[in-house]
Amino acid sequence: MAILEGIQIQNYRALREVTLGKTFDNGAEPLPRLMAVIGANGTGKSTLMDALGFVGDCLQEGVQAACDKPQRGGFERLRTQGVHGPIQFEVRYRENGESRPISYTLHIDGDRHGRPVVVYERLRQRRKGQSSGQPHSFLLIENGRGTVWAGEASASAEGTRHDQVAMSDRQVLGIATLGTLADHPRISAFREFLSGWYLSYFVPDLARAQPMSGAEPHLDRTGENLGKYLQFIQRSNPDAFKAMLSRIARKIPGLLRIEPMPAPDKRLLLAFHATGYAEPFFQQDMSDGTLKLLAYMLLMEDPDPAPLIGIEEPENGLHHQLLADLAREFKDFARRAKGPQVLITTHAPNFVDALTPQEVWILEKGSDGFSKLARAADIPGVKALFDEGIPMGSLWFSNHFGTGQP
Amino acid sequence: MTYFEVLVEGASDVPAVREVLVRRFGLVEGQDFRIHPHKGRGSLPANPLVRPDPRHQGLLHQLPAKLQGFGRYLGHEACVLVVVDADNTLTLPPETVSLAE
Repeated sequence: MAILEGIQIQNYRALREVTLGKTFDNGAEPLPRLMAVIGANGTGKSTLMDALGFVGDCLQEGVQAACDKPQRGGFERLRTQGVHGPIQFEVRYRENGESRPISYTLHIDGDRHGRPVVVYERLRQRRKGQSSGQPHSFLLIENGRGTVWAGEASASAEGTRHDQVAMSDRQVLGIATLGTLADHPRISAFREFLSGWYLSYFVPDLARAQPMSGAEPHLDRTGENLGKYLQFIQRSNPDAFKAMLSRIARKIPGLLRIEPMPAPDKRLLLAFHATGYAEPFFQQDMSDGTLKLLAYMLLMEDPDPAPLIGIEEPENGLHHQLLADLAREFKDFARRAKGPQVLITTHAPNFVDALTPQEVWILEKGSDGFSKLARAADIPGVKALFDEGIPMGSLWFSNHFGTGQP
Repeated sequence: MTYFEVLVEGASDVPAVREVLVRRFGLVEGQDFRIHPHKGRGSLPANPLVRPDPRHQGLLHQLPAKLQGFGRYLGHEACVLVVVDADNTLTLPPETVSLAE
C-alpha cells in the first residue's frame, strides 16, 4: 500500500508555493489516509486537484501534452503570473508502512522557444539504517543529462553500478523511461504509484447514457463507463456482485434492491426497485443524486483501487444529511488494507462534520493573489474546540478557521 | 487590547454586530475580534458538561462546549461576547447568565 506523505507545488497557477503534508525539509506530519480541502470559490481547490492530475499527465503523455490540455491552456498560462522560474513539484512517498520514504523532485521550464521541457528531476532516499540527515540521490537529471544508480543503492554507497543518462526527448520524464527497466525497482514502483492517481469528477448525465457492451476494470473520471465497469465486476465475481448491489441498495434512501438484468444485446442493465412502485426503474430514470451515490459506492467496491483518489465536490446533487455518512464511507474505504488515499475538495460543512482537525485543510487567497494552504489542526483553538465535541463542519460554518489572532 | 470572540445566533446578526464593534468601538475585525455565526439560537443542553450532540449546532447548544474550549487556549486578556436576540427575553434560561459569568 503506497503512501503519499506530502506534496509541495510551486509556480502552478495561483499555487505560488503550497505544501500539503511532509517533505524532507519541513518536518510536518505526513498526510492522513483521507483529507479534505475546503475554501471559498476561486481559492485554488480545483487548481490543486489539477496539479495532481498534471504530474500524472506529464508522466504518461510528456510535459508538452500535459501543459496543452484544454483546461490548462499551455505552459505560459500554467506558470504563476509574474514568475520566471520553473514549475516545481516535490512528492514524498513510501512504498508501504515499513519502507524508507522517497522524495521526487520535478522542475519544468520553458526552453528558448517557450516550449515546456523537463529541466530537473531527482529521486532521493535515506540510506538503510539512516534515520536523519540528508537523503541521497539515486536519480539526478539536470537539463537532460544525469546519473542513475541501479538497484537499491544511492550516490553515497561506494562501488555500486551507476549509469550516465542522456535524455534525447526533453518532453519525457526520466522516471517514465527508467521506470520500465527491471534494473530500477524503486523507480518502477514510484512510476507505478504516480501513474495510478485517479481523479473523479462525476457527471451524472454521462452515466445515464445507454451503456455500451463490454467490460472495464475501473470506473473512469466522469462515470461514463459505469455500465462497462459493472459488467467487469459481474463477470469477475458474480456472487460478490450481487452482494455488492444489495449493500449499495441499503445505503441509498428509497431503494429496496438493485438487480442486474442482461439485455438481449449483451449489455448489462441495472433494475432499481423503489419503494411504492411495482415496476423497476433503470439507470436512465434515476436522479442525479442517486446515480452519483451509486457511482461513489461502486468506486468504493473496486477490489484493486488506485493508490490515490481525488474527488471534486462530492456534495453536488446530494442531500446534505447524506454527506456525513458519505464522508464516513470514504474514511472506511481509505482505512482498508488495500484502500487508497483519498483527497476531497468540498464546500459542504455537513461533509466536513465527519472529519478531524488533522484531515481538514483550508485554502485561502492571500492579498497577493496567491493561494495559502493551512491545516485546521495548526490553527490556534481549532483542536481545543473540536476536543470539546464541536464538529469540524460546524467550526468552519461558525468562522473558527478564520485567520484572527486569538 | 482586549480580544473578543463574539458568538451570534446566525449570519444575519453578523453585519449589525460588526458595525457596532467597528464604528462605535473602533475595533478591527480579525485583529481585535472575530464573529462566529451559528445555526440559530438552539437551547442549552440538559447537562452542560457532556459533549454536545453533533446534530444540534445552535448557539446555546454549543455554548458550554465552546466556553470550555476557549478556556483551554484563550489568554486572560480575551473576552467571549455572546449576543442573543431579545425578541422574547422571558424564554432565555437564567442559567445562561451564570454560564456567561
